Amino acid sequence: MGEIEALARKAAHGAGKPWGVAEEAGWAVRWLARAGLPGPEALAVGLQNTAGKCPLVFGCALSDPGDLNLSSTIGPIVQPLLALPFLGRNCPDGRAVVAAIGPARAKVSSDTAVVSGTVPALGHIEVQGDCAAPEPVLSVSRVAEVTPDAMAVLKRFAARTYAPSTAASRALGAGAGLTDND
Amino acid sequence: MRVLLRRAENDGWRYDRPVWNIDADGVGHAVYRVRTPDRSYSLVAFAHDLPDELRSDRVIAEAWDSTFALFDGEPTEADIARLRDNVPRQEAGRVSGSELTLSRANRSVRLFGHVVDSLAAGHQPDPAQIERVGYLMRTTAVYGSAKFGLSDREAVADRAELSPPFQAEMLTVWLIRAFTVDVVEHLARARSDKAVDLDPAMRRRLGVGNSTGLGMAPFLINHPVLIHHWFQAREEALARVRSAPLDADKWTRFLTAFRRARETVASWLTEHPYQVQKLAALDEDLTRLGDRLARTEVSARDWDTLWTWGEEELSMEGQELLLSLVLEPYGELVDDLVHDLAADEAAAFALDGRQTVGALLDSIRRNYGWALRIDWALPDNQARIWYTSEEKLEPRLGERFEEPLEPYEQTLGPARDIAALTDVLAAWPLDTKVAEVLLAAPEHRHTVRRVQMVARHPFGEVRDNTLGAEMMPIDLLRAKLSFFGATCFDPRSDRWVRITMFQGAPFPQELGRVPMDEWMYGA
Repeated sequence: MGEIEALARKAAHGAGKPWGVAEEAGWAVRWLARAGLPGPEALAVGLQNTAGKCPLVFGCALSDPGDLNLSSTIGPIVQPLLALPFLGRNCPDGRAVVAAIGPARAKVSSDTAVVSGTVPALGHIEVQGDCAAPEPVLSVSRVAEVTPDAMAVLKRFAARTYAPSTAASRALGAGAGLTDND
Repeated sequence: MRVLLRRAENDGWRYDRPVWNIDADGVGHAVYRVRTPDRSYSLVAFAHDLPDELRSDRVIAEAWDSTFALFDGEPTEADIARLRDNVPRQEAGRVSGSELTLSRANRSVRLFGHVVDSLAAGHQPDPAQIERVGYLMRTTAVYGSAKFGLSDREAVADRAELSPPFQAEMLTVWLIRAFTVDVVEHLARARSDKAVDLDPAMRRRLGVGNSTGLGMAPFLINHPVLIHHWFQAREEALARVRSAPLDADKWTRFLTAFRRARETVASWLTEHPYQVQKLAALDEDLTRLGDRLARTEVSARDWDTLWTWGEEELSMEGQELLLSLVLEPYGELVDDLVHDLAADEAAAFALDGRQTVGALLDSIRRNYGWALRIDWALPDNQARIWYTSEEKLEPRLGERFEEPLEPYEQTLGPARDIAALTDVLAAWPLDTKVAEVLLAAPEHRHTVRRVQMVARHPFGEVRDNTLGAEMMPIDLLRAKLSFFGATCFDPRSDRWVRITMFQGAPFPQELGRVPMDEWMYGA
């Protein structure tokens, strides 16, 4: 989980998201994976497809004000699954938000979510009531299962944050000798 | 280190070495096991035959004298086979949620060879050489939590023995230390019939070395909530002792720790001018402190007075040592602070968008006045740039105005970023909600989060310019290493250091036979 969170954060930054938004990407992907939802895959697709509203920026705009900012529910949103964790962020313990994401229905608490139906690749999110539903009960995944394709895409984006190595950087950047035979 | 050994003693941990499968050339594997009341942990050690030219303590190394994984439980043959395919490759391999740490160590070539030669010849090694180096092997990385497939800390943090931070790493290093001594004795026996084992007193003087590079500095900056808890515990411990009653017994125990610390400092070797100069100041500090202690009348003995005197009279090095020493007689008063060292970082993550610009600015002025006073137009004040190299993802530090690195900058200059945020906030009405500002300026989201975190966790900020031309990365490394209980801080440049761990400590095979917490000051 920690590994996919760090990779998602780096990948989002590598794709051009500011660090603070990239941190939200790491948080959201881990949150989704923990709930058994394909967060890493959604991010991998979402970072390649920018024709629509960013689900992370949307999610922040929705949850930052403390109660759900329903005026921000204009879309369509790329990979709206990634915005899901933000819906329940401000719910008190035991309460959940009900939302429609295209044809799919989701119940989201601060901790977890259950989704029925297929979440579209591009779609609107309609929030139906503010933390009015009881929290869904769900077992928690301890290990993130990530498809090899998604992993490869995330690694490719993350690699954009690494500086190419030069002889000077190798020699000076870490300030160490190359041998320690002493 | 001492948190781990105290628990091992109090909970009656047991130790054995169920597997020793190392050949006469020192190649093979071994398993070191500790059993707590509830479960087992096993260090799986792989010993290799490494040509000298490959021996490097850099992250970019690709082979080591020995490699290790701490297995959660007792590994089967299949687990060992899986680990054999991966652990020797370190970052290039893949481990699983059944492993808690991944590590490697290289021989200190001179001492390792000298000890094997001596034991094989039937006599003990030269004590002066042991003191000069202090360890047979140096670890060059001890990876934990979720790296390369390792278990998440979250998955094990509810176990009492792993709840304090870095306990799995400390257990790993303690068991590695036992392995390093076993290997030299084994090699000596393989070489000669008249070989002897290491004298127990000399064994004790062998710790484990560690080479620490820049990676620890980003950790310190990236985990303000956790770091706050550590420094809060330190401040709380000092505050408790300053107001604690002082009797003859406590005074005697303090003097004993002081005397032993002087011996430890006297044996502390480094060649780096930065630390040489600090050690000279520390030496003077200890002389003055010694004089003062000798002159203090019984009726005038008081921790608060002594500490206040130290704050005015001693160098930073001397003050830090004095702080450690005054805690020494008061285990019963401060040891429970170990429960405050862990932090729920996830709970502190969500930022509060309801805060007003005015309140955020107040918070910045309260905690970051020092950052706003830095002249960010001066190149020297942001001369450095933190980045990650594509080469094994080694963390590095560059020169911002000399190398084309800005596209790869890691966000490790909070002081500069907060000054920039403050400029942006100036354009907004004070009653505007932060959420609205971030909608327009998402590039400041990381920094707003940090200001809010530090407002609740004030010890979490380094409170100095981490980008300045004068910045010494090793100071950041040392802050973290000191919480582990590392000794013999020995800088090798401004950005990497060697330290020693567990020197003087009991070995796992001594569990249940000797006290486990009376060794830190040269006992």
